[in-house]
Amino acid sequence: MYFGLTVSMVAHLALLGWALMAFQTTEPYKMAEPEAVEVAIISADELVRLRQGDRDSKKLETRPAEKIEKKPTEQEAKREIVKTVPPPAASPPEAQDDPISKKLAALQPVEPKGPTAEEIAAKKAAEEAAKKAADEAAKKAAAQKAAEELALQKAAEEKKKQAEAEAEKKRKADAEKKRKAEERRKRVAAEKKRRQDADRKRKLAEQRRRDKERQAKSFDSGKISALLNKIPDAAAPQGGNPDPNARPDAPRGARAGAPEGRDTRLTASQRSLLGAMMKRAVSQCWNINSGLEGVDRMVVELEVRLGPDGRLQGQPRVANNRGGAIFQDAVNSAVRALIQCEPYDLPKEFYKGGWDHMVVTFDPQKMF
Amino acid sequence: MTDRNNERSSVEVNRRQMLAVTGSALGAALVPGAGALAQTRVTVDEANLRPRPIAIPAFLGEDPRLAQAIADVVQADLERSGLFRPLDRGAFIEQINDLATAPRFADWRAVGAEALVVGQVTKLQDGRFRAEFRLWDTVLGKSLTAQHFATDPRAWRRLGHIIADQIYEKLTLEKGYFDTRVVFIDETGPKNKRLKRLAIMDQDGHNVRLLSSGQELVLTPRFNPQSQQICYMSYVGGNPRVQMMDLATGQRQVVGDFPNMTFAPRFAPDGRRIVMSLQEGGASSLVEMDLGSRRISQLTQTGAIDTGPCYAPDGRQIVFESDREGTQQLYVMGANGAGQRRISSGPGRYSTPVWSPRGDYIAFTKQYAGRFLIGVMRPDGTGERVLTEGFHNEGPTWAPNGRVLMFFREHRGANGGPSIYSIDLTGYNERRVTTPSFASDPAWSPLLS
Repeated sequence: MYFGLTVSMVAHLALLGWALMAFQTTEPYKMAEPEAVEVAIISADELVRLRQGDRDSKKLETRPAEKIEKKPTEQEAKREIVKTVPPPAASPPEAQDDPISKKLAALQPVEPKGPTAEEIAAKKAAEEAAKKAADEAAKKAAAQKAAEELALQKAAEEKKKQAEAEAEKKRKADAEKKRKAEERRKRVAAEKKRRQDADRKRKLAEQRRRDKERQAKSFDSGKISALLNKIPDAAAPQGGNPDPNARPDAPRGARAGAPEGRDTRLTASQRSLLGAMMKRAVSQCWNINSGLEGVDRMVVELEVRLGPDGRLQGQPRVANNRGGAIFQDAVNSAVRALIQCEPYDLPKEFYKGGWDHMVVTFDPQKMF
Repeated sequence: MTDRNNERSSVEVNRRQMLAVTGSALGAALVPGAGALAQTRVTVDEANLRPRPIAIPAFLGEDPRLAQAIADVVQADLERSGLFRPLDRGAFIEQINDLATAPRFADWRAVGAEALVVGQVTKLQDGRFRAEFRLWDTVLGKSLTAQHFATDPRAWRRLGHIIADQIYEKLTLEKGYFDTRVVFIDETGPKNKRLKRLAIMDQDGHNVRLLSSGQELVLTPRFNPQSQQICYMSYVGGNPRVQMMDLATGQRQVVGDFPNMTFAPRFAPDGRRIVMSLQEGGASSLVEMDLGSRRISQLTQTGAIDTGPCYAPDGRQIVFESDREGTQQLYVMGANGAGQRRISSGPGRYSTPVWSPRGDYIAFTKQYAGRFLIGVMRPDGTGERVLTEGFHNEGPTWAPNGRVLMFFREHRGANGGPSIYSIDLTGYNERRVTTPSFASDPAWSPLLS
């Protein structure tokens, strides 16, 4: 009985001890640490604004993703270096057999074998004499070589000069030939371009004319009032058909309110040019009663219509009628000037919308 | 939704366009010349100032010589004015045969004429003759005037002057001055014993008549602006006195009974008063005499030499010369002598002031740097300018229209003497007036008609 108890107690103790030991040595449970997240506190109105969008907010510029430069590896770098290294220069030409060297080589003394003192002295003297002779020969050879080199150099230079002269001559001839060819080519090209331009301009003008005709057909300025007037007017032209009674040469344009108003046809500088030409022409014929008291203040504005032949069409109309004998005299002077100077030689292309209808102001104030 | 928006915007645009068009149309309709704003505008501010070319063919008539002579007078008058350039009759294309028919304007324009004068002279039963003329504007193609006159055959030159005046007035809008006369001092004989006589002529130098015998020295004749009456200074019994003469009757009378010398007379614009200088010792004062009542008013009394008085055309002011400040200068005062003030301010000595009939200028003689100049200045002394200068110019007188002056110029040398010249107010068109002998001190008459 006691045995059993003892065994039981020992067994239990052993179990407890194992358990205790085992518990202590158990690997602790490791949880993965969570990544830190940046948190910003947003108020309720900010949230609303964010959702609605803020008009004053700065516009963020979209930046292109940064391009990561890939660093070359060492091998690649080496390869790169190899690539960039210039190829070795061509090996220098082999030294040619030099006759002078050969001569020198022939003059080399043979190595003595166990010479005596006399032999040595004699040898020395001989050596010295030989050396002297060799030196002289060498000097001579050098001089000869130098002379030959000089002669060769001169000959080479001469040849080179001749070659250069010939090359120059040839080059000049080539250049001349090339220049002539270029000129011919340019001339042909210019002529071609001119023809093309003229053709293009003609086509453009034709196109514009057609457009205008189309516009004129599709829009009748005389019917604006009919379009605006919602109440049917018996007198107003009906429909889009052209008025059969309308004169084809009836004045249209700005005065008639046409959208193709002629005032838009000429540029300001063209109008200015026309004004200057007209002024120069009319000034020649304008004469006033310069001694008349008050004539310097008589500014006369005349509405003038000219025909394509440069002649007045009808009597000019006074646009600023003031009345009075002196004003009437000033008007007469102005009209007289316009009549006396006709016909007016003005650019034909500026006729329509340019000088077919003008306001000419005669202002004598500057002359007094 | 998008379609609807597009539709709405297009409607708005159309309305806007239509409003603009309507506005433009209304503007063009309401503002005169608004349509012209978009047109080419030309400003001519330089003129080719020149005499106007005028064609004056010989007048038609039973007496071709007389008809041509009258046309010649008209032509000469207009040419002398410097404002017209009569064209050569030989260049005319159209032959005028009838005054009632309009001329072929193109033919006259072709020869460069801006105006055409056609006329006719016919004899009347009472011995007089009738001259009629018509003035055409050949450029504008219209008749400007047509008039007729009847006169004694002896007055044919005057008739020509009258026609010239009508043409001048019609074309320049100013009164003419051709039917006028000039009184002057006719000078004959050697320089040291010169005979000076009062004379009168037409403004063009014709019809010279002597008004005095030369027995007495006559100086400074002046016309009455209202009548054919002149006043002048004459040595009566060795005593210088202002006298008057009626040109129609030749009757003379001494103006006032002064103890001392009177000189430099000038009629008032109304012709009823005379202002003159009265010598008082070494000085002279200005006095005015009413010709009706013979009442005398003293206008100045400064102890200096005040002389050369001349009325303004309205008669309210008088310009005169005085050396009260050391040298001769010009002064202006009221017609009663009040408010005397100096108007000349330039260097030199000013004398013989004459107020223009237009009232805008005062002409004068100026002695400066050894020369005599004829100039004009505004009545307030501004705008002084010289019209002509020379060795000895003196005594300007105005044409009745205030546009032309006459003066006399003394020529150097033992045989030299004075001559009368005319010049335009602008200083151009200086012409010598032909006289039978030397002539000085001209005085221009008012218009005779």
